[in-house]
Amino acid sequence: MTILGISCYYHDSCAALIHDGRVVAAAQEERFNRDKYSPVFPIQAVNYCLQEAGLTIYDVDEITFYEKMYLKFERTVLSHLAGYPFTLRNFLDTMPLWLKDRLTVSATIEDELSIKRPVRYVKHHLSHAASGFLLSPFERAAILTVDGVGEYACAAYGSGSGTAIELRKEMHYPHSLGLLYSIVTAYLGFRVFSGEGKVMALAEYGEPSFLDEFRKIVHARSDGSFELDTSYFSFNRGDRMHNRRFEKLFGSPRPPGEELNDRHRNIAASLQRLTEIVLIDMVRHVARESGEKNLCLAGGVFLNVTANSRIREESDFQEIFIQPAAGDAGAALGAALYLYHSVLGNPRMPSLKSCALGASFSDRAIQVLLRNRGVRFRAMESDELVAEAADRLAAKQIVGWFRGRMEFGPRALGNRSILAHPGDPEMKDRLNLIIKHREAFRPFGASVLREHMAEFFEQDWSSPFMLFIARVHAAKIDAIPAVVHVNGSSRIQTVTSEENGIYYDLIEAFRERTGLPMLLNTSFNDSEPIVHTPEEALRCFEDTDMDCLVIGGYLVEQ
Amino acid sequence: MRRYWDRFKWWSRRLGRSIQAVVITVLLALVYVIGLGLTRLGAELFSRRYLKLYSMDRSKGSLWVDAEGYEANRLDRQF
Amino acid sequence: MSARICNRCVLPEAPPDIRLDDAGMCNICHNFDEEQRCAEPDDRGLLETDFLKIIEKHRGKHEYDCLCMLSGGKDSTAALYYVKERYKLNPLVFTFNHGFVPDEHIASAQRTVEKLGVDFVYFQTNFMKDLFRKIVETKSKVVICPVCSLWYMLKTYEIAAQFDVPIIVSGWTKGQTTGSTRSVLSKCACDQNPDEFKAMTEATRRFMKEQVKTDPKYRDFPMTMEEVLRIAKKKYKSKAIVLSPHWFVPGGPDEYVPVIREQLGWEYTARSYPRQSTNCDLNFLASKLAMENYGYSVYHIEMSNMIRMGLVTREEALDLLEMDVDGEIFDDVLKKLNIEAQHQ
Repeated sequence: MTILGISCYYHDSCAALIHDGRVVAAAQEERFNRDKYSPVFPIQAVNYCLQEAGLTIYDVDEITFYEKMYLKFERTVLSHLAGYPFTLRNFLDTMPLWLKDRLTVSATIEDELSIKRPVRYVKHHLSHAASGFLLSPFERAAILTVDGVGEYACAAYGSGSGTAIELRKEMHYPHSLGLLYSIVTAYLGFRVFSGEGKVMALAEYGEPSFLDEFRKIVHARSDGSFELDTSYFSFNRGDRMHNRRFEKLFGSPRPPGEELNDRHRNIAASLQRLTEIVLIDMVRHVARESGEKNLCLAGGVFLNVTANSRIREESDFQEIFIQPAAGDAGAALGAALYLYHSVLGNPRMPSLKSCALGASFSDRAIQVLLRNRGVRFRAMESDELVAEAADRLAAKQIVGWFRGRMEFGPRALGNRSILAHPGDPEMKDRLNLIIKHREAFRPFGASVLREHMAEFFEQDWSSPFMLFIARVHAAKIDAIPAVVHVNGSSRIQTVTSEENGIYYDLIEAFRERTGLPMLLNTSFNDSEPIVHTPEEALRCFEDTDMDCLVIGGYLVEQ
Repeated sequence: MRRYWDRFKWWSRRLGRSIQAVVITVLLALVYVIGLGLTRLGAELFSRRYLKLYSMDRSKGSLWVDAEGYEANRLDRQF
Repeated sequence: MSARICNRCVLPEAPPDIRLDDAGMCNICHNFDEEQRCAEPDDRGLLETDFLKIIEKHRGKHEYDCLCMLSGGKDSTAALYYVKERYKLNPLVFTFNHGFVPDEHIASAQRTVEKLGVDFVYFQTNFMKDLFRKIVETKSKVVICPVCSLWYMLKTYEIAAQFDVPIIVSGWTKGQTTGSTRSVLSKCACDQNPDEFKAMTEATRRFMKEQVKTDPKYRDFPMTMEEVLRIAKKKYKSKAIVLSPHWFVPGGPDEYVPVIREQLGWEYTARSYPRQSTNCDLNFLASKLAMENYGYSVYHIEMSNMIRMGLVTREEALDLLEMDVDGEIFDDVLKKLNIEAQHQ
């Protein structure tokens, strides 16, 4: 049985393939067309998934789509109706997109893929729920999904047992935590979808002095549900979603690029605090309602690692699982999983241990590239590469690391990473300024050997997909300044020999040289999607000031 | 010759797309002003239920509502 | 003194069409890089689903879904394999022999056809022999291969029309197309005239006008590939499009040679130019003459494309293009052409 899952038209277009009882491949279209958060039909990702499986489109039995577009269209029209006549401009901008392809998903799929297969439409939050629960290690669990908006729902909860998933309650648009976060992100002068992480990082530099103001906008209930006071917003009425009333409360919006001040930082901090409070209330409510010990989370809001960690610490759940591509890319996979398990009744797959579901490249292809480009490189055995890279990292060099299959989801987890010494106090500024070309306040995460977690962090838990933060022991902060955020915490990926292979070996080799069982790990890119092909990796390496590049079985020097 | 033909085709495609965009915009504007206008009027007069998307109700105890439309036998539908 | 060779591809300096800059890189490589940089956002390159879109339009509507040109070499064998086994089409296979194709190659084609259980048309003729002889005897600078391709493409269209086949599938590699995505998806990708072919094309045009059109036997012979397409459309009423699956599927020989070896028992032939190809014996002479006249052959152009596309290293290309055969092969070919060896 072969099932192709697709998500597209809003952000993070993705294709995922289930074949013979396992997830064979999944990839976001942005990695192919180099357009961040690309919303276009993921034709290149589809081609990749099929070729990875050694199949053609003729072998696909079922196709799933991650939401019900007619329902979404209905909500969009009602939204314009409610704001009539002030929503004309927005109507003229969005309707052509609906008419072009959003209302004709089946026809588009048939046209692009040249096959007639029934398309199964899985509701948006159900796709998220499936991506979380069906890949988790839990036989049964509570499920909570929170994002911007699907068809109508902005959040939903229920439970899963075996292959069955039941969503019992949902919250409807416009009362959306994800939407609120995006609105404030735009208000603070950052781009929506890419800026939310920046706001989360910025929050740690401020104080939640605007919490009361946010409580005027967000009327929270004790069960975690809340009502947005829509009189502060202008939905579908132009470029901005906030209005003058909002500005009276918080001040004028920050133009993009303008210097950040305390007001901005405090607004970010207040938004973050409110988000955490609301999410914890939601989680507590779900715990009470479900009576389950385990919790699965999905939806773009759960890319907020700070909130995730508070949930983990403060909720009553024993175990929490978050699928690494928690946003809409993961929903493509979730829709396919839902059909495969919950509808067709196939037994559960082993839980997701690695999100390396993207393309890999042979040493032969890499060698051809390196030779033809005339770069200085050496072929090395794996243990030599590990030793050489560890030496260079210990010498505070910045190393590009391109090995194995590309990760699925927004995080680089040791296959498409830029690595550096976490103990170098200059490293954070060096990386932000000359490699990543991004704001100085943005922190870097760390890949930590699992068995050494407790030596450096107060929490001793697994975080294989870098979706949690942990507080650094006060005595250790000076040892790893490059990966410690201003609040004394670090976003961490725990690494094991079993799951991470040579990446584990590298960190272990680094530990032997420096005593630090971790590396600074940031994604291999510079203001673009994470690199996908060896050509892109080589170009990024050449265009930035990385000291060396480990690509496949080769070491490349500048 | 081929180059001129290619240029000609490029410009006519552009022109065609521009005309198409203008026509679609005008039609959509008419749909909005007249269609949505009449619908709005009808909703105001007969059923304000369709206009409550952004209205607030502070008295509501919880904003959680029963989840609907998640049945497995509805997967072939987009609603 | 031999010409400088581009330090990135394997084309030599051959002004005015091929020029090297101060860094030793040729203008063809520069053009390629420029095209990559200026590629339209929606020019994502060819995908397998693009190929499927085309074949699905025609599947099942004719007795045969496509006409596969099969030389017995790795590329055309793999193309046929994909067509039959991967895309489940019903192909008619066509192999031609102008008198210089070794028996080994024909046997390889025969074996493949039997293994796949497909219908097969084999056409053998000496029609082109006089024309080839004329090229050699007149010491013309025309390259034999493009002239031969005019003939075999016309014959292929004729067969396609005869059997009412809508698609012609070749085994042409990625290195054998120089057009953009859009031009490749046009009716026939063989109607391009990039810089590296200019001198050869001009020599062909002159030769065709002066020597071929004046010969009653070849009066109706097409002068250019555009004319081939015109004749195909008007005379044979063929609207067939020519495609190669290799343009649409990622990778190259590294990926498909192991497959055809395992599935079809295919093996490299003993002798061919370039190495690891399956070209006719005349090709040795044609390439030798091209290198004497231009400094490079059509295979240098193909290999250079493949270098730029990252499918082969420059060193590998140079190795494959090395012509280290004894003079015996040239004597055999000249003998077949009824030309005395000392004329060379």
